[in-house]
Amino acid sequence: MPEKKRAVLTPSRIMIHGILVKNPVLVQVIGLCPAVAASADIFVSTVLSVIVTGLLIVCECIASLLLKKIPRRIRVVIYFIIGLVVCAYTSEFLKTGAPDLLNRVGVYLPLMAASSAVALRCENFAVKKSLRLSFLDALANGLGTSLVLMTSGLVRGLLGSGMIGDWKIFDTPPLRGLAMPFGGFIVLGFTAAFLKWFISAHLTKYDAEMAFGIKQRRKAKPAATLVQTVPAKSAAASDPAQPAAPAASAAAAQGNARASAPQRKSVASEESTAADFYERASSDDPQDTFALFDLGAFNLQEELDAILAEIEGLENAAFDGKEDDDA
Amino acid sequence: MPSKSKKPFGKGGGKVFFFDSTLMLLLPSVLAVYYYGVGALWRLLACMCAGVLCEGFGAAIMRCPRDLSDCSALFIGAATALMLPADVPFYVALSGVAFAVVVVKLPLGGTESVPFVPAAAGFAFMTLCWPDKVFSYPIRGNLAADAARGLSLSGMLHQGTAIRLNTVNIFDILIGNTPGPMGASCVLVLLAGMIYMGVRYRRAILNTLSFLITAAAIAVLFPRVFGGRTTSLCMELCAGTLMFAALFFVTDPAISPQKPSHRIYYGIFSAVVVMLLRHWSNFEDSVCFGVLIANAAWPAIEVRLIRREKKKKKARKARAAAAGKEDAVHA
Repeated sequence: MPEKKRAVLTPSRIMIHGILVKNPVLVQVIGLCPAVAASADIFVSTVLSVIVTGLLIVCECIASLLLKKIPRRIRVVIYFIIGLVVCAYTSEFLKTGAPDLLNRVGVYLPLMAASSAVALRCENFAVKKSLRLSFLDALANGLGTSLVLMTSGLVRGLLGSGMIGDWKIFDTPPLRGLAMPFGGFIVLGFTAAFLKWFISAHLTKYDAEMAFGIKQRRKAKPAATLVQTVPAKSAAASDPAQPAAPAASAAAAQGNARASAPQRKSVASEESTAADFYERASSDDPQDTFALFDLGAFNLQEELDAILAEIEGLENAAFDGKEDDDA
Repeated sequence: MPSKSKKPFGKGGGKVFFFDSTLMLLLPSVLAVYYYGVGALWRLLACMCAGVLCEGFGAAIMRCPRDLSDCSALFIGAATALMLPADVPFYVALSGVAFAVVVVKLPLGGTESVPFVPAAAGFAFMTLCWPDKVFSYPIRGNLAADAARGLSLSGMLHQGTAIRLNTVNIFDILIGNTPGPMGASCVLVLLAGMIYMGVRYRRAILNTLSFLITAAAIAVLFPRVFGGRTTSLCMELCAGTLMFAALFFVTDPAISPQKPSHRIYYGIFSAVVVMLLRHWSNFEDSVCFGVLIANAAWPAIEVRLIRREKKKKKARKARAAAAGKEDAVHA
């Protein structure tokens, strides 16, 4: 398996990923409920942003410090319990300090306790990384969520109700529909488009890592090559003329035998693609895990077919070896 | 969309279809100008210009291919304007058109693959944002800002007023001489458009007919007014934008299925959704919402229809093969 240069998790990289490139709301599409329904007002958005960031920091730090050895099914329950505790305390704090604000936040504060973003980040990152990195990741994701919530709150408040917070800007709101939940979806859609443009234009080295940079990824790693490459490796181990081996593997094996220079080059690149896939699959790095689940890069059905074909090829090879020993 | 061919617009492409549709919109436009004066003309022209400008600028910003010659932007502008009252504020109409083009048509795939009727989406947006302005109709010849507002047919139906057909002149209803949308309430002109559509696009008229027949059946079976079933039938069909939607929205080739039988099912389904919303919606006229819901749900229904047809075909083939074997054995 060729050595693959892996991206180092530097603090700046974690921050850029959390805030922009893998933005929890706009790119990973998690925690949409408050972003769509509750972000029609800048005050509510700000309160929710603070709560989300705080919750993420507390949960990820606890997960990184204490929960690494605990089984996964128990960990997930613990995340929600921590969320519940944080939300209950925040609720009590708001009840005494700012009861109006608590009324305006409404049901979305208790809903934060079961935030999918918290469980996902803890499980994908915090339990595998150090406390420092987990804290940075929580901060970055919290800031990413806050950025979206507050932008949405500002735009929807201004255009939907003609107000920024309690200040009246327009007597008649220009687009009253934006204050409704469907307006939230529209604003999020345009914000996601703007983010995509911004990353393409100004952060070009991160462009390929965006989950919705589907076209570029397909160009770089065509999924069909994997179907041919993986059986080719297995066919090299076994007899290429095996009738049980799939047609694709036979064709690829024949191709290997008679490959001209450019063909060899393409086969090598295909093999490196497959090697890349296996390395990513076995990696603990959450960024790699994300890349695997990016459906634009890999067609999961084809990957499964390829893996099954390889297993079949290995079984055939083992069976042949046994037959040779018997003989 | 499952049964759609690669070219849903047929030989002539979208250019011909939307050119024809825009041509069909000319008649109601002329009548709107005749009834409501120059104000209606300005609104119509502004909406059409806004449609073209939004398409041009939107396509340039989103870097998607643009073809302004297909008339779809003009059609969206004109259709949106004709569903509004003649004295609607300009910003309301222009926002609706901008929404239809910039939020619905361009990002969702352009003329040939947009999954919702853009003009219906624009109207729905205006309805949600400014329901008081969208359903406040002027009385013919009196467009002053403080003039008395008229109660439209859809408003009467929505209120469930006890009326008889003779309280409203049937001829006035047919020629659109009642308070209502400026271009969508003239039934005779829309019927003429249907005849033109029937001659030009024989398959597309199946959508319209099945839609109207189903709506009529529901109107007769479940009347909303106490004036009898005939009154209910006439008023339901002529009120609001139902007939306009039947002619221009249900036939949209980007969304409509291609198979004749599926077209009929699509028309029936759309009509059922529209009539359900009319009965239970809070808005005076919810035809556009019904059309949008039907647009969203139809692909899932069509997939099931196709699967069922395939199963039937297989079973028929199996039966034929079994019958052939039996014949061979007997022989």
